[in-house]
Amino acid sequence: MRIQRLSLDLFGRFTGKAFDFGEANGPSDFHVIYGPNEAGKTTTMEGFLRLLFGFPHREPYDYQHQRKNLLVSGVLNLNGEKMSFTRLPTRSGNLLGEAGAALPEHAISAHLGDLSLEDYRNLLCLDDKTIEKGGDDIANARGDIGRLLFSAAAGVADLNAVLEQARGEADSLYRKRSSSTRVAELKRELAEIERKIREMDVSASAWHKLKEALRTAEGEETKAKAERDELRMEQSLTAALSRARPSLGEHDRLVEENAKLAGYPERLDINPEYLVALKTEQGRAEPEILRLKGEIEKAGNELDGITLDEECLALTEKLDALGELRSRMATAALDLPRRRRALEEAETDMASIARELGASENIELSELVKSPAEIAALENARDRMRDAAKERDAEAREVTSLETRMLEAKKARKALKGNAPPQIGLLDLLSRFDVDSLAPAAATARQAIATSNEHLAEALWAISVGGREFTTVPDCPIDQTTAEELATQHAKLMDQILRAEETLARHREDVDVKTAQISSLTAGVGVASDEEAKDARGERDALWQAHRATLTLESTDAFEPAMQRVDDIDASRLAHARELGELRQLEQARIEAETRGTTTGTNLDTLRNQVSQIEARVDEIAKTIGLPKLSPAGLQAWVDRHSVAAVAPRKMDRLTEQHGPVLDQADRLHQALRPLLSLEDPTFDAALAAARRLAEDERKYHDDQKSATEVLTNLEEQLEGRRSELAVLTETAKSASDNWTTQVMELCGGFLAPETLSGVISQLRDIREHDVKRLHAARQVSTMAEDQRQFTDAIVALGIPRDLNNDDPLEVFRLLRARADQAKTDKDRHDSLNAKIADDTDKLGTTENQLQEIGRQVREFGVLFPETADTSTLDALRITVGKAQELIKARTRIADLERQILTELSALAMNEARVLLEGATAPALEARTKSLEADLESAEAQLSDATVARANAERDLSAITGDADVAELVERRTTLQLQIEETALDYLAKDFGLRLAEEAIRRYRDKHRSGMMDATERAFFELTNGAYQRLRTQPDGSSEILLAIDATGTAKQVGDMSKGTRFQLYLALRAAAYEQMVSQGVQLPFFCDDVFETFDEDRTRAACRLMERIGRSGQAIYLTHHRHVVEIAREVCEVQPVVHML
Amino acid sequence: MIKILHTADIHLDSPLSSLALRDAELRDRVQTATRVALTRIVDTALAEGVAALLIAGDLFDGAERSARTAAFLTGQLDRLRASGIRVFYIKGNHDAENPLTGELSLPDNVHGFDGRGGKVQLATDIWIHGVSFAGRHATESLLPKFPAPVEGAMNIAMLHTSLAGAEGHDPYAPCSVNDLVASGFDYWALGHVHRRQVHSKKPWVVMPGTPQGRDIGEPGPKSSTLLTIGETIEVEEVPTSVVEFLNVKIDTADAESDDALRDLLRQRLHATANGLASDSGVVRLTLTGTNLRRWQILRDHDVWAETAAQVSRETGRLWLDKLVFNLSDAEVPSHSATDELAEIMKTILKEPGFAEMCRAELETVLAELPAQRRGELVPNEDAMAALGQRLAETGAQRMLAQMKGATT
Repeated sequence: MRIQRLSLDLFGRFTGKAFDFGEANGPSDFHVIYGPNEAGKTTTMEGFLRLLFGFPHREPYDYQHQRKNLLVSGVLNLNGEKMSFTRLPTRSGNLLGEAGAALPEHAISAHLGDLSLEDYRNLLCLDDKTIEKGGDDIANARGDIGRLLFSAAAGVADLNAVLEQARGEADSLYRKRSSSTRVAELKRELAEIERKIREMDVSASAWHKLKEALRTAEGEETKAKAERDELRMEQSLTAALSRARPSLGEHDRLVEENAKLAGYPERLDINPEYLVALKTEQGRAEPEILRLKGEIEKAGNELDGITLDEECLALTEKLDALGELRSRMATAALDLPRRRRALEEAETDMASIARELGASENIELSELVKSPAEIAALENARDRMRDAAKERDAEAREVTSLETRMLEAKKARKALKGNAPPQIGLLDLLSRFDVDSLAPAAATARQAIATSNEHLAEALWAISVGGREFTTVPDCPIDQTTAEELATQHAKLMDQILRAEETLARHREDVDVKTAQISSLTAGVGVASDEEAKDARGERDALWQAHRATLTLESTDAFEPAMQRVDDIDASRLAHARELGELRQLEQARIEAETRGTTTGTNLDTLRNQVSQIEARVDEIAKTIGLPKLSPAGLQAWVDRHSVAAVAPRKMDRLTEQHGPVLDQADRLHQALRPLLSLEDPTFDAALAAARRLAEDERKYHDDQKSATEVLTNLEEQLEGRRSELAVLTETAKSASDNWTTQVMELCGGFLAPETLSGVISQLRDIREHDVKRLHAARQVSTMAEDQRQFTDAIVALGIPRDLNNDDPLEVFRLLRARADQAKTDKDRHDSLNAKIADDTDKLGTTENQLQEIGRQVREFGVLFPETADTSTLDALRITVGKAQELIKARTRIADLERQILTELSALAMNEARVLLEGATAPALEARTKSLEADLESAEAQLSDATVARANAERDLSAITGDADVAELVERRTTLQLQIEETALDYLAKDFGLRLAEEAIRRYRDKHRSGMMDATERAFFELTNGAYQRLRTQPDGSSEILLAIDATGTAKQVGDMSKGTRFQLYLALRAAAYEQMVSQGVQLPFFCDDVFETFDEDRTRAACRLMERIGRSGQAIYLTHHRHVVEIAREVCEVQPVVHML
Repeated sequence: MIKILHTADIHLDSPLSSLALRDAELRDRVQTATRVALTRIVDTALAEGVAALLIAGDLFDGAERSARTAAFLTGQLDRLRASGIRVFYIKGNHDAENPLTGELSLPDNVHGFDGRGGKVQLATDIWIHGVSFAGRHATESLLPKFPAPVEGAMNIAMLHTSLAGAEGHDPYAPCSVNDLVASGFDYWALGHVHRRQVHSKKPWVVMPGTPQGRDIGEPGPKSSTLLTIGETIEVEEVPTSVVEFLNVKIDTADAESDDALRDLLRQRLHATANGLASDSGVVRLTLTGTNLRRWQILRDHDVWAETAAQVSRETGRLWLDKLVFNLSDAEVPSHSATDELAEIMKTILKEPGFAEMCRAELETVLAELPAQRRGELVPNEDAMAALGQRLAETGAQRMLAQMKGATT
């Protein structure tokens, strides 16, 4: 794959940014993208990755364009075929080809050599982070380097993790003898289930045994039961004999005892209680007959003594008819005098009232009685008259009061006018100047200007230096920056001078020291100096030339000592070679120190010169301003203060201008006020305060005047209204009085005067009430008198016997009533005696009949018994019946005993029973009973045991129900077995797969490792310009360490290298991996983002050449913000890289 | 009209065998399914008012020997007795080996034929004939032991037989369908083969199949057979299975993404659930077809197994037994290292050294399994080698998937 064009249409900061990488037609396809920091180099690399792999869900490059709008496109060359691609941020169908046709993902991914996004980033998109990360993965991995190199090449960065994870998974499933694996866990579960099944289940054979046990137990039980039953039978027979024996004795005795009463009846229907009742009845009837006879006789005697008065009996009815009239008569006799008194009283009262009313003596009283309506009309007229008079009087009082108040008000107004203050028009003046807002504004303005004045004074004081003081702020010919520069420059120069002087001193000291050392060394050794040696050699050579020309003895002699001297000097110098070396070094050092001293001296002069220039300039400036002499630092300080002071006058001017209008206005007001006030030259504030007080007095006088006038007007209006009202009311009162007089005259026609009547109208009501009482009393008196007359007439009509000589009709009536009552009492007694006699005679007959019936019954019962028995009287009969009943009881008992004996002994007849009992004695029976009891007890115990055994067997068997517990457990067991099998097989598959993978990787690694190592080594050698010659691996326990061997043969681990060298190694690894991929037919664009930053220049050159080399087998793109890298790349590459500007 | 219900091979209390039963909810639903099946048969007999229930052998399972099973059976037979329904029973090979058979004290409405054979009159003109297995094997035909059909009556014969049998299986009372057709009986009530099959309709030769399948080897809904006897015999199926086993294959060729595959699973499983005859279903799902994403799918096999299980549960009626991957790779040319690794792994697989290692490891691990299951899994050396090879291939595929999957 090769990238021909990359368009960051909408991505990161870019909009429509495109890179054209052109056709790959040169021998190397190497591009450099240059741009400053923040220009978007990393964004470009990321954009390319988006084109290949799509947009991530969380996109960090969406800060300018929203994620949904992001878009990158490009033209890729895939196996020689150019294709356009566009990448959208949509969830699916986000890869588009030509003309916007959606393409499947593998249209690109098929050309990526199985690299994932992360792998591409770590392997082929290197920046500071990824180069280190991918490299560390290799260098720090515990596995062997070869495999990791292979991993990097294959893009399977984390194959080790895959294997480890798989091994972990396999181990979690099964490990021999481990108790924590899945298989072990399942087996534990299985064992638990199997234990439960064993506990709960019943097998077929166990079931069989249980059934057998039940059958046996049932047999045992049956047998024990039969034995027990037999014993029980015998026991009950013995018991029956014991019981029957006394019964037979009693039977025989009873039969014998009752033999002589053979004639008595078998059954008796006579109840002895009945006989007792008969006896009682007989005893009662006999005395009753005697008593009844006596009673009848006594009543006959009494009857004879009574006589009846028929006449008086008839009177009763007539008296009853008169009853009501008599009672009214009696009441009236008591009431009548009281009623008559009441009548008289009423009349007397009426007469007395008439007198009070002033009526004439002869007036008929009834004429004074008026109807309630008439009285009310009178009262109404009188009240109207009174009310009108009252209103009229009140109004008259009001008028009088108003007249008084009016007089007072007039007096007050007159007094006010006499006390008026002087009027000078201050009110108008103050309001014209709007004093309320002017006064505070003026105060503020004056305050501001005063403060500003103070500031100005302070500023002027601040810039005074020495004796020189300023009244105005002077001009400053130099600005702050320049002053500061001069000061700084001066300080710096002074500092440098100081240091230069120190250095110079040090150099001079050095020279002195070295000179001393040299002379001491020369003196101590005595060695010929270089000059001496040179001279000696020159002399020798000259003599040699002479000797050679002549070859005479003289020349020889001359030459020899010269030669000898040279040899001596050489020998001496050779012997003192070290000292000589040292000497030479010292001399060299001295010369150096001298030279440095000279240089330093020159520098010092220059510096001093510069300082003088600066100081001269400062002096000139100070003079211009008029300041005394200043240091540059002093000048800088003064200029700083001056810049502060210069502000003060400007501020002052601005304030004056700003507050001018307000102050002017205040001033005008001040001038206007002055003549009006009695103060001697007042300040503005004092004048204003005095004016305000005067103005307040003026205002108050005007207000009072106005209110006094208003009061007076108001009172006049009120008085006028009241007076007209009074005239109306006087008229009304007069008409009401006339009306009253007319009404009295009409109703009381002259016999009552209106004046008198007006106070006593209520008396008319009283007189009317008395009249009602009078009429009522008169009516009652007449009714009572009528009743009296009627009663007297009726009594006379009854015909009073002569012996009642009495006038009072009521008394006559009472006597007659007493006689009639006596006659009636006699009659009633007579009737009751007759009735009693008849009744008693009846009862006597009945009782006699009862006695006869009792006698008949006694005779009838007697017939039932034999003649020997006495039944003559009732008592004799009772004794005989008693005997008969005893006999019947005995006979029943005999029959019972017989039945009992036969039942007990299961015999059919008594004879049979007698045979059974023959010879049975009580002791023999008892002994037998005891022995049977013992036998039976043991038989019962046996049976009980057998029953328990049978019940247990039954229970055991019935416990086997058809419930599904065991079946469910069996199912669970089956599932668990399946799970174990599944897990075991799963483990085996995983284990086999792992072994295969490990072995395969090992073989692959062996095949590929040498090539990889060689390629890395080559690249590293090249990058470090031969500083590192070789790479090798060294086993470290189960893993390997990567070592680099430098030129001296020293081995270095990755951790011991500098960052730059480490990066070079990591880059070399990538280059080797790239080579490996190319050899596998995978060519992909290789990006580096300024990873050469830590390389020195030589290594940067080498790195550029490496990129060029990568470009020869694929496509290399280097992104940088270093101009020099671009230049180096251009300089060192045989084929010029294509440079793109961002 | 007389009705008779015919069943066989109940294998009472024989457990269901599927990994799906790990799911507690399914366990609650299909617990003791063979019991439920028998209960349903009895319910049907009562509801239809049949005259008799025919059980043509293998009422019990050879391995399940709990007395509680017998107690449950007695309870169900008592229900029939209470309604006056007679039961005819012949022993099959499993009954003959199960000691429970001998211990049974069956209610008096049950007639068990013995090994000598016999006939019983059910109604005026209906006779039931039958011969039981005397031991667990019957290598000879049991046909000669049948008494001759009764002239002029309906004759129904009960026989437990593997018929002609299948290659590699022991013969059980072998005979041919032709023999049966020719024997003069009107209805052959057979048992032994668990898959229902009507071999002949004139006369009827009916293998009713088991009323409840117990593992994936016995798939589909299961039933018993209801006879209605008038002038002729009418036959119908009565469903009995609580749960049925299903093999479902899904071609994933078109599923290009995880979502598409999930949708496909969901769609197919819901369709399967809708077509279910029993209350519940246990599914063995096989993914087939050529899929570009084979490696990703294999890599995530656990996730897919869980997804399939989850989707099955969602239907409310289906549970996953196992998810089997039978995918073939798309032939996309690739030069990746994993492809090279795959080739190397293929080579190693064929090497005898590796086979020997597999065998040794296999022996160690299989020792953890119950002996019986081990015997079934690897009956001989060849089977052992084949299993080793198969597991190694599966393991290799998974490892490759993980390695490839880690890169894509």
